Amino acid sequence: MDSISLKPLEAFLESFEDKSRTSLLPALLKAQELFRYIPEEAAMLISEKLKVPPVHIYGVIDFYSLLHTEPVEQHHIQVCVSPVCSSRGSHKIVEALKGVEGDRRVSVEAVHCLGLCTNPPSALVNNRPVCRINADKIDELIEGKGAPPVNSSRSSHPVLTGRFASDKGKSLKSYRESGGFSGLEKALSMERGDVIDLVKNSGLLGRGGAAFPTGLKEESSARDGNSEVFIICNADESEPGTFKDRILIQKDPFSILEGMIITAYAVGSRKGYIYIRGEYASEQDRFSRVIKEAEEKNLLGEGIMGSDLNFHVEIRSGAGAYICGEETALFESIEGNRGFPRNKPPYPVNSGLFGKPTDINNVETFSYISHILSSEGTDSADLPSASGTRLFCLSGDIKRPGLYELPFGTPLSEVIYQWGGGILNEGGLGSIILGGASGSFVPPDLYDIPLDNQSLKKAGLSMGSGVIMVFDDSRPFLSILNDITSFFNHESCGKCYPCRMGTRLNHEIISRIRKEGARNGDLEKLQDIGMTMKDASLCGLGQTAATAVLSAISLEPDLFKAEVS
Amino acid sequence: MKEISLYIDGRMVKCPEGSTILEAARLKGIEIPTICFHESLTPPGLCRQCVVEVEGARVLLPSCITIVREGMVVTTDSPRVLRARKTILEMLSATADLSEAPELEQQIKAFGADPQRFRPEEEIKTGPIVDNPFYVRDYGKCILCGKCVQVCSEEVQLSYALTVAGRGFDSRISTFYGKPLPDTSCVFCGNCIEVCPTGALKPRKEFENDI
Amino acid sequence: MTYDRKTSTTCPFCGVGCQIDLNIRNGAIISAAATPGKAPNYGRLCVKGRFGTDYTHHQSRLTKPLIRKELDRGKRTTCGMEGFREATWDEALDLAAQRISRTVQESGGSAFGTFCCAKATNEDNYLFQKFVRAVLKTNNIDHCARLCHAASVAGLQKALGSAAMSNSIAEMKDLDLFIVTGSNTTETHPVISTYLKEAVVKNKARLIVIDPRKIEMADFALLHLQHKPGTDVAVYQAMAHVIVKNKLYDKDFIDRRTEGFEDYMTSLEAFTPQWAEEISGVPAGKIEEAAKLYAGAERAAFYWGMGISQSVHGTDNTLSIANLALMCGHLGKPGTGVNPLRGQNNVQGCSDSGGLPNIYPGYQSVSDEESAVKFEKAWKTSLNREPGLTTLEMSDAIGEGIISDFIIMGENPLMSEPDLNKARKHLSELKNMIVIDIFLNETGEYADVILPAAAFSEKEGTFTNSDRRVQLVRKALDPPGEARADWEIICELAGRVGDKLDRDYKESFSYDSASQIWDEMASLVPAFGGISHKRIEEEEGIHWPCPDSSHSGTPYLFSDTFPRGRGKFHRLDHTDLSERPDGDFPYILSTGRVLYHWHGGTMTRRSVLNDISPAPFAEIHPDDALRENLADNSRVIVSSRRGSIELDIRISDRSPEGVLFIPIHFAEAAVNELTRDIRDASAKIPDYKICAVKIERASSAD
Repeated sequence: MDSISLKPLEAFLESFEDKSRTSLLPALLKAQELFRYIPEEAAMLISEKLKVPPVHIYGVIDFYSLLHTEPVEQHHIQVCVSPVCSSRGSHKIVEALKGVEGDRRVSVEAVHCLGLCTNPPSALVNNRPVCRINADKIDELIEGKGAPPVNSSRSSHPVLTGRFASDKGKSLKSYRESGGFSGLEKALSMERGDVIDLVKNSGLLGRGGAAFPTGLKEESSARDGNSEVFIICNADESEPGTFKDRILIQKDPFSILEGMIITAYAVGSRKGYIYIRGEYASEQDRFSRVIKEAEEKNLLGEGIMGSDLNFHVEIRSGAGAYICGEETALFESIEGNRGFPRNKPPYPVNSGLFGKPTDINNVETFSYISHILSSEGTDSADLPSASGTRLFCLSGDIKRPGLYELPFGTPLSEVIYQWGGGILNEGGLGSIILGGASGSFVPPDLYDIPLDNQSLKKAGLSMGSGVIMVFDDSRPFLSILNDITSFFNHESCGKCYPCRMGTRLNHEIISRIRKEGARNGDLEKLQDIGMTMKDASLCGLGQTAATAVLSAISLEPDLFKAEVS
Repeated sequence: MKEISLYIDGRMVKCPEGSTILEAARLKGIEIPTICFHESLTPPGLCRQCVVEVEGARVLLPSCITIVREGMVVTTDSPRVLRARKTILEMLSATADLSEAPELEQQIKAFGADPQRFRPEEEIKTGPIVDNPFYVRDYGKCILCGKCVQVCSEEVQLSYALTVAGRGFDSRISTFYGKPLPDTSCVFCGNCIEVCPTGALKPRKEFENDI
Repeated sequence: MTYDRKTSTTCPFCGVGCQIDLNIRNGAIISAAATPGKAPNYGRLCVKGRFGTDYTHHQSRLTKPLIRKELDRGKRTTCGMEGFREATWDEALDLAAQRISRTVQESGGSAFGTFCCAKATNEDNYLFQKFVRAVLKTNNIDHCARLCHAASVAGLQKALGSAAMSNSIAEMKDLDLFIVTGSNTTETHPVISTYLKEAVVKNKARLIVIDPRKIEMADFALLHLQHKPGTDVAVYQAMAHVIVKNKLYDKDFIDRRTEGFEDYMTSLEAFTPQWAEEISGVPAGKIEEAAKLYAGAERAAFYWGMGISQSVHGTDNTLSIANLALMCGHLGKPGTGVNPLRGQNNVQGCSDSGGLPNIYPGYQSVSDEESAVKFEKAWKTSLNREPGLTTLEMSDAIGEGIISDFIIMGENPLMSEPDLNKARKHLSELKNMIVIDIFLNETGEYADVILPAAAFSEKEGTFTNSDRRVQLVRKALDPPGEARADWEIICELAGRVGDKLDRDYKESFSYDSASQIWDEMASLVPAFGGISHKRIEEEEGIHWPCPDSSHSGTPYLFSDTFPRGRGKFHRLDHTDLSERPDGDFPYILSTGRVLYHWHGGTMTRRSVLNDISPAPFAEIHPDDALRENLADNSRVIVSSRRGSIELDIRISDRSPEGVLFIPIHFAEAAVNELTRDIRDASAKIPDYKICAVKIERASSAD
């Protein structure tokens, strides 16, 4: 190995205020950026400065996809192979790139969803998004040339997306002109308990997937202000088919920050984190400018808006691990560990980040909180459902893929046909996945189902993070399933047995059935594995990783049975 | 200390407040199988073999870390529980050599698991690593219970020679950058051997005697 | 199953006293494991205990008595196996008895020097000292405790009246604040170190390390005071100064439990942290911080090893620690105390059993008439009231023509004594030398008769660990060949010496079992009164003092009173190094141990442990290496005014600049060729940790 200079890394490590384990992931990401991998010497230096045992550093490096123990090439290309991009030929692009790996200083990696699902297939070239890529235009791709992402969005009742069209979310100035921070101002004039009540009464349910009542979480994590409480905005958006958080960060970031500050006031927190997935480099840049601007205008820091509220927000980057979207795994990640989810209880509201009470919410949830406060919840009174609107990520074989803000209860078919314009190229509707890779195939008799939590729950479905992936009738069921099982095989953290082994065996069986057809016993195997994962896995990832397979079995059981000779 | 009453498999059990379901069950002689559990280590709750069905809970709960509540109704042998246990054992059999894991072999028998069921057509054999004078690491037998890492880290030795590396199915026990043990912080206390349930870690003399 | 059966016993290496299961297959130990759930190690072991007991099966074990081929040819010389011939037990014992009785008749008991053994059982040692005192009529008996914790013993005896570790191993996990000084704990007491590290990492205890080397424990420390070797007293006196100046002492404790504080307090004026900084190199601020932390802690304990005691100032070092503990009241409660970590598996027990020149078993003075009469009555013989000579005094006495015979059980002075040239010269002048051992080691090579003994795994008995816990040693295997348990050998020898002297010792040296020997000792030692093998078996070890069968043992000492009544403060002065580095010998040599070896290496160099640590080395600071133009692993000669050794260097910043560190285990580069035989005035312990040396490139390296 060529000798490397550790000087820049050393300087970076010196810059940390907190020279402890919590700074591990930022340090490793920096080393990866500096050296294109993490050399042993760099790991040893980090170990010494942050007082983390070397072997733990190795364990962390080896856990996260964005950290490498061997150098990546000059052109490091991450191609999305999740169902939507895969159905548009991304596997072929991976093959083509692999073919030139040696001579073109290219390293290629198949990754699962980059949040660019409206422009498939997509890739990151040295962390920059490139969309609508093509196996015939490899040269351009290697150079990072290609279409930039287009973020289209529409809404019947714009609340969250209210500033999108006018681009009022662009700067702090325009944000405030459009009513921004009036919610915080109002919150600061209220009793903390009243703020929590307002959020509780709004009926807001978490938008990350679990749909837990946000106000209740605030109430349980609230402390008297003398003990530590953390606020975390979960922007580790990685569920295949989800891109709403990315667009919200780009289009209306201050609303997210405002929601965090309001919550900080409500629960008595002095420190917040926003954990943004590592693949969202430009969103991280965007948000760090937002924080800086807010700090300059006394909207963050000490004595916010002249009140006695002190609150700081730090950005943390993910490093390529879907599991870190799971709240406790995210805590582990901020603490400088492998992203292993924790057993619950204890729940985050009692013992979360650093063992302290923590109120963690999705990007969309925080943004929504700012709107609840600024509008006193009155604006949503004219909405068909009391809990307001939500963001739907529509992608796949659809004429107008994009982000749609629609009232709860909007029928699924309306989203697809009226808003999405129906199936691309006048094809027939093949299948719909609701809720992302951890969601289900929707049975055809439920295509008109109203998209609200109660109706979906009754039908055994969940809208999760608001993902609607649509496939035309040329897309084989098993191909989609293969991409999904491959995703979970790649993203299971490996901590608990059902998920570690179940995700692999699921993928092996599905991929074999896809190639060779089913054998006797396959259906039962998939059911046993799936039910065991669902019933016995440690965290939400494992508990839902087999949902798609199980739903496919109930829709098309014959696909998984050996043909009768 | 306050006493809690709960029902396990229809039997009323009284136990001290703060007990786990596993502890409560053992008080009554109700056997719940475990794999990653070890009396003197913090239960990591990762093997999920000790899951039980608790009335009102959406999923099965690991009895080794679930604290009893007054009036809790627990079933340790429902069809859901049995399916999970049997499947976990079948999956383990497909991914590790359990021939020197007598406790697991016993469980396989007890739950009627078919060790061949998920076994891949081509088995990938990893050879034992013999890189030091004292003990051998045969990760073909490793079930990733993580006890060796626990004792090497905070739980006993604080030598920090081992970690779980990789992710998902490709997780494995490793040293710093996969180096041979003598080049690491390993002090060869062998306390990891003591807790290894499958013979993946073994004194070299025993290993040489066995072959 | 990989083994046929297992035997639970006590580890033969360090003073922790781990409980181990020896797994036996085909008549040999195939592996070892911690006895599940048993104190003091609760399932933990270190590399030596787990893998190192294979020395007992080494091909060079002595299996038959040996007699020197050329006896009484003037000055004895060293010889290997070829210098000896095998003999029957009868012949060897008779010869030994005849030579011993000849000296008894010609010169009396004062012509004998004897070493008992901190590796042997309490029963072996009790019987050996009984043999020395009752048969030879001398108190010239000592053992390697003299060379390790003698200064701790002397200091603690003066300050408190008892020298044992005051608190138990079990308390370590729950420490609040503790100071580790002069102990490379992770390598010398590995299992104890896990509890100490655990206290820091899991229970957030605060650790202060005071040690010249950057040892592993320092990685876990809140503060590391890296003082220059030999300046311990300066650092501790300055800490006392800070505590007094800031009135951080425990007035109530001082009033109730101590004496001499006023006098001590007034002596501290000059010992400012700034003064100590100049001497020790430790920044005054750090000394102050350490003092405040120690005094301010709710519970605070000291743990130390050879770094404190193996010094010409060893007693003062110990007293300076005792002063601090007394003034802050950090004694007599759980999680407090003054704790010398004992080295050998049974160094505590060997002293307890009377293996010292001034005391009978149970620390009963040989010059105390009442004690002497008690033992005379029990042993049915007359006893010598004159305290005997210490280890090195015995060696000196050979040179002075006073001692002509050595009887050595299990010890290896020709590795462990300082200034080996001198030690060899002395041994070569002996008229008679009898050795009982399991191997032919450097010392054995000078012997006339060597009697092959059983290893720890081949006999019954007890070891007493560092925290005074008496534990069972159980027989797992028969000794190889004709080797016998030490106590059986001593019984035979006593009987035969008696025959030659026309006295009958057969009755008082006749036992059926080790347990019977213990019972005799327990009947004579009040602190052991309630301990029997049966009770140890049932209760899995008992901490003495345990005066009667209803007493449950004493895990921590001094809760109500000190053995000497009130704890006593001692005025102290800093004195300079015994041998300062100079232009000719510019480096300070410090000696110590490594994880993989045991002391003189007799056992571990004959074990798989030697595979991972096969060669001697000198640890040198990078700046020193640069100055000497030496690359890592260069071959060098290190010399002192007394001798020189050849070995490789290992460049490391663990030792401070100007200090070479060389481990003591390697006969081919025995560091005691270099050390100096200068001793602490009260403890008679030599200054192993400091002498002046130089380093040169070895010619063979060019």
